[in-house]
Amino acid sequence: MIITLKGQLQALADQSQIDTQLVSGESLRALIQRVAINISDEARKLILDDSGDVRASLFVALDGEHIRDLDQPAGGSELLLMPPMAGG
Amino acid sequence: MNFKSSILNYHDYYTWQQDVTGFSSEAQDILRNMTALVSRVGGLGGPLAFSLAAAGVGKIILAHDGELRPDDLNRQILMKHEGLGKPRHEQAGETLRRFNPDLNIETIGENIMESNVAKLIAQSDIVFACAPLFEERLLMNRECVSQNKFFVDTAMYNTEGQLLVVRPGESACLACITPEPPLGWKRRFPVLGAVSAMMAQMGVLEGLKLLTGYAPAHTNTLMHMDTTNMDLRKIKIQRHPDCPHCSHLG
Repeated sequence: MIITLKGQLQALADQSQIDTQLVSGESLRALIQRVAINISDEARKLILDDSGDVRASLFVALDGEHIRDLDQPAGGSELLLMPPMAGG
Repeated sequence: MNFKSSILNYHDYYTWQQDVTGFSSEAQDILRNMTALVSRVGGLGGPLAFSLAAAGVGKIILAHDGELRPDDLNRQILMKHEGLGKPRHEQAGETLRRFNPDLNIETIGENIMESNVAKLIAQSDIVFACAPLFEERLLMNRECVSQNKFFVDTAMYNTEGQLLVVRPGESACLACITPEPPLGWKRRFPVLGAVSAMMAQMGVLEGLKLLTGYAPAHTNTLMHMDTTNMDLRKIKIQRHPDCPHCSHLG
């Protein structure tokens, strides 16, 4: 599965995509948490809160559709992670 | 030929525009009677307001506090070099009035805040959020939902931009996807003026669709543009049943 990083996340992680193998039985939340471990501290803080859970403010889309239920089984082709942006 | 503003008819400016597919003199009359609020006239709001003016939106309210700095001039195209150190809202208004003196341009030397948001949005038919802070954007979103006004949120970061178009009660609003300001957003952000301007033009086009109906607006969609590869994504979004701003609308 391809994890695409956008916005501040892409800049702070210094990469735009992560290719990862899905783990059987893993939820989207667990997948995001696993991926976040391997990126820079600054980027990780945009994904996970202090307790290690996925931030509510993180925009997550699966194969072109916004999703809120991160407890569903991980699957699909592309997971997009994007912190909100407000630059003008 | 005499081109004095006093003898020109409103429609004289827009004859080419009225030939656009789906557009018409009726659509133009709609724009003539509309009021748009643009929150901040910087890299996004400046070119956005300019194109609203060019399109013939009857009244444009520009809200922006603060003076022009040298590092604003890579993107804030309504400003001018001789205006450094001077209020930006005044320069923006002057530029648009010189562009077309028949336009009704109102400028306010304040940013949108709790004390002025309800009054300003009550005067407007559509609101364009171009502010660099989530608090300001969410405040406008909340009030637009409350007053049932069209809301267009344009934003950018680095080489990317995003656009959200809101019909209150019918489509997802900003708080449906960003219920609160996120951690880590900084007032200073990396910006190429052309990226801001491009997102501004996309915002104007969606706003004109909302106002005139000349084409369907992209509601329930978060449009994201990455200018490094010119990749435009249209991500499907839905209203949040527990949205702090719009869930009460059913």
